[in-house]
This record gives sequence, structure tokens and C-alpha cells, in this order.
Amino acid sequence: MSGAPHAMDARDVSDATVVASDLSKWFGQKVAVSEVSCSFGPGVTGLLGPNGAGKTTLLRVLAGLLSPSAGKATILGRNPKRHHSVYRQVGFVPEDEAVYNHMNARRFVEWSAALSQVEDARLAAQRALDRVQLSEDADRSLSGFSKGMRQRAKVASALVHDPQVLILDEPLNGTDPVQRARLIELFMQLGGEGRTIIVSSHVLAEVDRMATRVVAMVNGRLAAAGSVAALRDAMSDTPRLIRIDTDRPRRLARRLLAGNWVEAVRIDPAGIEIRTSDAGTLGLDIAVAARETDSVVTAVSAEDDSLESVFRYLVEQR
Amino acid sequence: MRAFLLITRSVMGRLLGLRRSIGLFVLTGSIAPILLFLAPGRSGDEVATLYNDITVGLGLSILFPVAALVVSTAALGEERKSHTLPFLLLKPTSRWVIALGVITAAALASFVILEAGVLASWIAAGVVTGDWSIGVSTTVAAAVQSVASAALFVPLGLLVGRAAVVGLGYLLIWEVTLGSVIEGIQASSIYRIVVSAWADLATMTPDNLDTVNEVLGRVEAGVGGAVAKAAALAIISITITGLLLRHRDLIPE
Repeated sequence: MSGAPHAMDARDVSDATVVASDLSKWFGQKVAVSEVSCSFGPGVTGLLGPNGAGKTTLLRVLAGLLSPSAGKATILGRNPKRHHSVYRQVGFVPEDEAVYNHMNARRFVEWSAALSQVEDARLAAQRALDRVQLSEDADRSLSGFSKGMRQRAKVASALVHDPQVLILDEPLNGTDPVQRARLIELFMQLGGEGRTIIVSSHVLAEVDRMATRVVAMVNGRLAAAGSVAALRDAMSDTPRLIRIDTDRPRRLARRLLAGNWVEAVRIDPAGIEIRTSDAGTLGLDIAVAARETDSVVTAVSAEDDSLESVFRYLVEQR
Repeated sequence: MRAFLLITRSVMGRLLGLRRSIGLFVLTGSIAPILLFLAPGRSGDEVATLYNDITVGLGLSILFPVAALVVSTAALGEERKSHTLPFLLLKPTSRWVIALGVITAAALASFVILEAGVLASWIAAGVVTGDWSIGVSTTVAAAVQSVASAALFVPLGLLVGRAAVVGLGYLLIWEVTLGSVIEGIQASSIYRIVVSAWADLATMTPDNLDTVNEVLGRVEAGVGGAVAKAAALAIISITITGLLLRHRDLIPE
């Protein structure tokens, strides 16, 4: 695990636009974000982590919606909580589904543009609605929109003033696969234009498709940061818990233990749970071992394939 | 100025949603049917006296404060509850402008709803008495009520989850109950500030005067004083709301 992502050190980028320095945020006794130091620069950065990892709190502090309990957050060198003028250069998509239900999409986006001091709010709104492919439904009330359409309206409202920094909290939630693909393409385009795009998600595959860099959080702490490839490499080292359902668990387990990739085995009447550091080799060996022991294997499944378990492992390694 | 107008217009649009407006109009407009129900068989002067009594005893004491409370607590409370505050806060706009815009919107929206009720009772009283100046004092009172309630309840909506319930408790306990027995708090009672503006402009019979004096206690009738007090409350409220928006975490964890 020498190549663990926390060691990759790519917590900081050279051309940082958004910086968290020793940032902590707690609510009463509950610590939501703990001593996070990292920075974000041009391009798409994925903020990854399981639910409850502290991603939303971190983004809210970075955006200036919450005050840090300790440390500081800056956008373009300024504290957004104090210097509201920085919001001319910042777009934010909150995680919550809520929108202004008394407005239609066009009015909502125009209103955002006007409040962000865009000169021709109408034209800017039309462009933003076009970008998220919402023009056809722009004159419908937001209250009648599906969750995915609301997300796109929120994205349009966040980018209508052409911001340098775009902070997106789970922007793909509720979108269908087609909408998701289009939004991912849009974020990649925006990142390619040199904007800082921070996208939070608990779905690794989504981030994998759009982000060149990943910052991963677990339990309020920074667990990893670096390129997507480096994170994936780190994850391949993660011990996995594999369940094998078989009619002869004891015989099969004894045979599998002969392989040095098996770290631990737990046997129950219906099968075996194996902790392994090399799931690929184990997978190949299962068929051979089943034949040799005359066992019938009815199912093989990964018990801890969630991102949460991988991240927990990363944290335990720190 | 542009930001102020944008915020005021948008918050007013939300506060004057159809369902809320109709519901509150049923409340504030209920004086008209009561008046029409009780008017038959009475002279014009008697109906005018009745109008004044109902206005002070029911409209200004309960119906108008409750309607204005509902509107004012929703101004920022609804944004907080429905998680739409980021759309307002993450803009390059001064927190003072946001506070001013929201409180103005709450006051205007309250006034629209109260005045709809005032107009209904004004028309009813005007038709029966032939005196078409009868509603002027109530219109001024509605305006003072709207500003004072917005000043008091907009920041409350931002701070407290169930602000309408807390506000209702305040109205019943502080304004109605304690205000009538503790003279020291009468000068700061919104109900009495509103009645003092109304009493300065209304044409009252001796019976009405007794009722009004009983309500006002040590507070002198005077529209100027009432407007000044409401304006002072509004300035304090804008300051408090601006500070809350600036320094307090308004997004739930």
C-alpha cells in the first residue's frame, strides 16, 4: 500500500483558485469536516466520498455558505463569507432539490443573471438554458419539473454569469442516463475552457468519466487526492471480502487457503467469506479449487465493493 | 438599486402565491360579511360605530396581525426551510440590500393582503353608511401593521423553525394578554402602535373612543408617532437581518 493515494500528494495544485487551509467544521459535538487542506484549480476535480463523508459541508464552507469552525477557505484569493463580490466569479449548485417553484425556468435563470450583475440577463439566460438543453421547457413552471430538469435549471442558473469557479454538489442526482451524459460533457467542456469545476459525487464511475483529478473524503477527513488513475491503483490494493456459496465450504476453504493471496477465511454452513489482497487471482483459483475438491459453487460475490469500504480502508491506512 | 428591486419583486411574488393569498384574504376579509350580517335594521351612524368596533376589536387585534405574521415569517423562513437560501445568498449582493429587499417585500405583500380585506369591509361599510372616507384610517393602520410586522417577524423567520407558532404565541401572550395589564410594555406593543395610528384618523363615536382608550392605555393616539415607531423598528430589523445573513450559518447541517 506504499502507493496509497494520501501519499500521492496532490492535495495542492500550482494554479489554485479555491483553497481550503486546515479547514474544520463542526456542528455542536459532531465534526463534519476535520482539518482538510487541499486546493482546486482549472479543470474538473471530483470530490468523492460516501454519503456522510463531509463533502456537502466542505463545499458549503468553500462557497461561503457556512463559516469554518477553524482554518480558512478562499476563492480567487478572497474569503467569500466577507467579500461577496467574489460571487461574480462563482457559480454554485446546491445538493438540495429545491428551486423557486413560483418561477419558470427562464425567469429563474434570468433572475440569477441579473442578480449576478450580468448586463444582458435575458440573452445570458437563453445561452445558459441552451447549454443545459432546457430551452424548450424554459417557460414552464419549475414546480412541474422532474428532478433531473430541476438539476439542469440549477446548473443553468449557476453558469449564467460565466463564472470562473463552478461548485456543483451532486449535480447528477436524479438525472436520467442521457441527461447525465450531457451534463458530464458540459462539465468537461467548462473544465476544458480553463474554469475550476468542483463536482461532488458518491459514485466513482461518474467522477471517473469527467474528472482529471480526485479529492476523496471519508469521515470528514481528506482520504486521498490525486489523479483518477492513481486513486484506482490504490484501490486495486485494497483487501476485498469475497463470498462463495458452495455445498462443501470446509473442503473448498482448506484448498483455497493454500494460495498466499488469501488473508483470512470465515466458514458458515452455506459458504465461505474470504478476505483477499488479490481478488483477481482468487477468482481464477476458485474454479480450479472447486473442480479439485468436487465442490459445487453456486455464487461468488464481493461483499464490500462499495466506495465507502474502499475509502474506509484508505483512512485506516493513514 | 437593481438588486433591491429584483429581490423585492421575487420575494413578493413568492409570498403572494395564490393559495396563501386566498387563505389570508378569507381571514382579513371576514369583517365585511360580519358587518353586512349585523347591519340590517341599524342606522348609518350605528353601522359606522359597529365598523369601528369590529375593526379595532377583531381586525387590528387578531386578524391583521396574524395575516401579517404568516406573510412575514415566510419571507426568509420559507427560503430557509426549503433550502433555497443559497440562490439568494451566493450572489454579489450586499447582505444589507438583501435584508432591505426581503423586509420591503414582506411589508408590501402583507399590505396587499391586509388592504384586500380593508377594501372589502370599506366597500361594505361605504354602501351601508354612505360615508366613503370610513376606510382611510384602516388603510393607514394596515400599512403601519405591515411594516411593523415585517420588521419583527422577518428576522424571527430566519432564526426559528416554527416562527409562525412562536409569533402567534407572542401576539397572544405579549400583545393581547400582558399588554393589557402591564402599562410599561404598552408603548412598544405593535397592536397599540397600529391602533394609535388608526385612532388619529378615524371618526369615532364616544363608545368607540372608550374602547380605543382602553386598548391604548398610556399610549397617545397619533399617526406620526406610529409611523416613526414602525420606521424605527424597520431600521433595527434591517440591521439585525443583515447581521444574521452576514455572520450566521443559515444552512442546516
